[in-house]
Formats: sequence, C-alpha cells, structure tokens
Amino acid sequence: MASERPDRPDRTTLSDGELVRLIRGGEVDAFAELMRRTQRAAYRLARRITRRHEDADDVVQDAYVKAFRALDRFESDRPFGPWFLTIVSRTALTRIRDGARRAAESLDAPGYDGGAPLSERVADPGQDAEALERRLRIEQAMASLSDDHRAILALRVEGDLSYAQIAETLNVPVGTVMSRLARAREALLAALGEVRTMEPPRS
Amino acid sequence: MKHVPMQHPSNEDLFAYRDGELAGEKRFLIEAHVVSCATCRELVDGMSGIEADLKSRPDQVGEEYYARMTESVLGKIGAKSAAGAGAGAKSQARAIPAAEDAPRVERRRPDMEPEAEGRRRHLFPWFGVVGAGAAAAAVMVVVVMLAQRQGEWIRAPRPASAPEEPFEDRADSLAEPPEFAPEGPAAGAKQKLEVGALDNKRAVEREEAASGLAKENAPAPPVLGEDARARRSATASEKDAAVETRSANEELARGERQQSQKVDENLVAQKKMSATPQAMQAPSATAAAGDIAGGAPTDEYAAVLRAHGLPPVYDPARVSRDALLKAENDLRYLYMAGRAQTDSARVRLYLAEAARAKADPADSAAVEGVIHHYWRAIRLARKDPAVSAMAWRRLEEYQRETGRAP
Repeated sequence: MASERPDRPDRTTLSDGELVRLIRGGEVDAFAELMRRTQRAAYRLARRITRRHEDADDVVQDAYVKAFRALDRFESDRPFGPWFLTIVSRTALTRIRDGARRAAESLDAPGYDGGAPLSERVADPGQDAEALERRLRIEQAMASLSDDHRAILALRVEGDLSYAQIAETLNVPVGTVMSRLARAREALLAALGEVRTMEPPRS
Repeated sequence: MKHVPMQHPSNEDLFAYRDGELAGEKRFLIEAHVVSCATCRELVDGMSGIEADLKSRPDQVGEEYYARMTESVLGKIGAKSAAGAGAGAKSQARAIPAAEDAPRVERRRPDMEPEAEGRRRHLFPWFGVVGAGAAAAAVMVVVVMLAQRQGEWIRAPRPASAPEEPFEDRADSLAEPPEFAPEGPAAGAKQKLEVGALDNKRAVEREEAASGLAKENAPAPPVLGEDARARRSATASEKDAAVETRSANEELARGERQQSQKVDENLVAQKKMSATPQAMQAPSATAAAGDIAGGAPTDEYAAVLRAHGLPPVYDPARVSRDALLKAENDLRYLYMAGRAQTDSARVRLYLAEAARAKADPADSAAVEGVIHHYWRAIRLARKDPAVSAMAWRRLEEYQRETGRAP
C-alpha cells in the first residue's frame, strides 16, 4: 500500500476489531491500517459536504484524531467504517455551520493534486457525450443545493449510512431523516429540471 | 393481493422503500404499489440513477494525498510514541474538540429496519431487508457457492461472521426444493445444487450445458438429506452455507401436496393491473404468460437479466447497482404476472423475512408480519406444491407456537 511505511507491519488481513485491540494495546501505528480502509470514503463524504478540498482535508484529519481518542467507546465487534463516517459527517457539518468559507466549488477548477479538472474527470473513457453532460448536470445540481440538503444526501449516498446512522449523526429522529431526505431528493430533482411535486398526484 | 393501495405513497415512503429502510407490512404495501405504478417506479428508478452517478464521481485526490494524510494524522495522535490509545493524543497541544462527535449505541424505531452496517440496503431492496446479518450472509454465501459452481463469476469474500442462532430457518429457507424438473436444452445436463435459488440454478445449468463444462459434481438426483451432508464437506464455504439444510430438504423430499392449486384471485387481478415493462417485451417466447410448472420460464428471467447486462449468476456486491435495481424491478413483473412460474428465490426471501421477523421480538408488528410473509410465500408458490406445502407447514407451526388458530 502506498500509505504504508516500510517499517510498518502488514496488517491488511486483520479485522477492524483486531486492529482496534492492537491500538488499545499500544500499537498506535495500527491506526494507519484503519485509515487506509476508510480514508477514501471519508474524504469523499467530507468533500461532498464541505465542497472544498481544504475543508475536507481538515475535517477528515480532525475526525481521525477524534476517532482515535474515542476508540474506547468503539464496540470492536462492529465495523469501524460506518462509525467513523458518522464522526466525519458531524465534523463536516459543524464546519459548514460554523460559517467556514463556502465558496462553491468550480467544476472547472483543477484537481487538488494538479490533475485534470472535474469536468474532464467525470468522463469515463468511452463514455458518450450525453452521459458526460448528464453527470455534469447532476454534479452542478448537487452543488447548488442548500447545505442541509447536500449534507443529508451526502450522508446517504457517499456515506452509505442507514437512516438510523444518519439520525444519530444529525441528532434527530429517524422520521425526520426520512422527510429531510425526501425533501433533499426532491430539491435535487427540481434542480435537474426533473420537477416533482412534493407529493405525486393522487389518483 | 388485497393490499394494493389506491393512492400513491408519499415520496418519503417511496425513497425509504428504495433505501431498504422499511420493514414489515409497510414495506409490502409500498412494494405492491411500486410494482404496479409506472409513475412511482419512474421516480424511484430516476433517483437511483442520479445517485449512482453521484456515487461514481471520480476521486479528486490520489493515493499520494492519502499517504500524506496518514502520516500527518499518525503524527498528531503520537503513533511514534507507541503510547496507548488516547495517551498520545492527550499530549498534543492543539485542542481538538472532544470526541463528542463519536456516536453512541444506536437507537432504532420499531417500524424501521434494525441496524446492520455493511449490508446493501439500497442495492438490493428486499435482500437488504432480509439482511440483518445472518440472512444477508446466507444469501451471499449462496451467491458464492453458485459462483464456485459456475467457476467463472467473481468470488465474493465469505462474511467474516455468520451468526449461528437464527441461521437454521434462513438456511433452510434457501434450500433447494427437489421437485423442479428443468426442461429444454439443459434437461440432460442437470446439476443438482443443494442450496441455491431455482432460477439461478437453472441459469447455471444452461450455462454449463452450453459451455460443455464437466459435471463432476453432478451426480444422481439429490438424495436430499444425506446427499447434502455428504457434499457439504466439499469446500469450506459450502460447508458454511449448507449448514442446516437438511430439515428443509427432508421436509421437501416428502413432497407433501396439501396446497390446493386454485389460483389466487387477487393475484390474477394484480396481473391484469401490471403493465409490461420495456425490458420484457422482447424476451423469448418460450415462457408464455401463465405457464405452469415444468415449463422453462427462466429463459425470460435470464433474458431480463441479460437485457440489463447482468450474468445469470451475480454477486450483488459486484454488479452495477443501477442495472441491478432496474433488472429486479422488471423481474417483479414476471413474478407478479405469474410469468416466472414459481419464483423460488423470492419465495425463500419471504420465508427468510418471516424468520427474521420471528427472531425480532422487538418488532411490534412481528406476529402479523410473520404470518403475512408466510402468506406471501404460499401465494407465490401456488404453482409449486412442494414449496407451497413447506410454507404452509411453517405457517401452521408458527400459528401453533403463537397460539393462533391455523
């Protein structure tokens, strides 16, 4: 793994729970393996919510430190990923609510790593122009949503979190998650021009 | 099917259904509606497509960024000091907000799904609902087994832990009934799988017949209990998957035929309501509408899968979510229109669903839910006396257990 230093043992075969036990036992660098397993999902989620690389980077790093400090509360027979993603999302939500810079991400801005702009990257090789345009429209529609709508959609779509986990993250009842998520999806459809009324017509 | 609602469900319910977050009666109500309502299906499918696009957005950072981040975080938590968890971080001067963001034990609402990380809720709606842990594991193992048999589809990792207690009912609900006699090109090349969905099994058989694969593990017709046990030791994952298949197999082998074959009037009514989805207009003519046991309905079944770019046997974790959702939507038409003959996979899922509800005393609607699931299984299996009899027997047993008159 690119993220593994040569002097770090290969722990890729250990379960999340075993890694956590190692860390609790003092082998703190085993945390690197937990990070390797989760950082892509964490970054994508944080980036969706905050929209900026710098914010997403801070959020994810803070979230890892928080998770490390809270490892005693982690039930080691459960997967680390979903638990960690709820920490990421809370940290990201706090960040956007604290009024951090919110400049909308430009789809044409170069990627952080100096790579091609997003408008080119969303194109899979061999993908037709129509599909590319559709993806760009979806990205733009997503970026145009309110923070709340974008965040809850990110939790569901990027974080792949269940309603119960989203409820835990947002500290609201599950029923509220249901309705907020529906409103967010309606807003996304509206932004895409695929307008849906709040309720489909009754027959 | 008395439960087809006349009004459209709310968007909340439709999306929650799509996300696999509904359970029990409500889920079936919404499902019944979505199956027969093009408007709602379009909404649900459209949203699925959009979210698939969002999710497949390419990464904006690369491996080197993640590597740098790892070292940075390890520095912050004091990894180099080899201190115990927390100790390193406490020495950090930088005040990081306390870990109040770490989630606590999850709550759940009775009408919502029990929490289960890692399952594929939205990907595979009804598998997802079955899927608290054991059942999902069982389904996955079946897929793995089929993949091994077929020898070409991607091998999925065995679930790390397969809970043991409620496994029996689920495993046997996934067991293969003995009575189906596939005809057509594969008739001479039967391969008996003791565990597996009928349609997948048939698809495998056809595949193998077509490719001329050896039938080294296709001995005589299954002597179900013993045979399953004997072959259970063949591979490790088979061993796990085939645990507890005997009761269902023996049960099935008895071949009881107490279920009357009268056609469920409500299902007929629903059949009339069902529109024909596009993907089904082309498929083979071998599966005439309303065909009966012994036909070759899986041509149509396989054709639907093919139309969505799916192989006959697929691992839900590995195929396009969008294609899967669409294919399964179309497949429901086959089930509901009676064109999938007995859909054994689906029947089993209802049985597994009943098992799940039985195992969950916290579910306030559990008893009604279990009975409802059995009824669904019985109705779906109406053309297959053996499966239907099994479902009847379980329903009766359950009713006795719960003190309800059969």
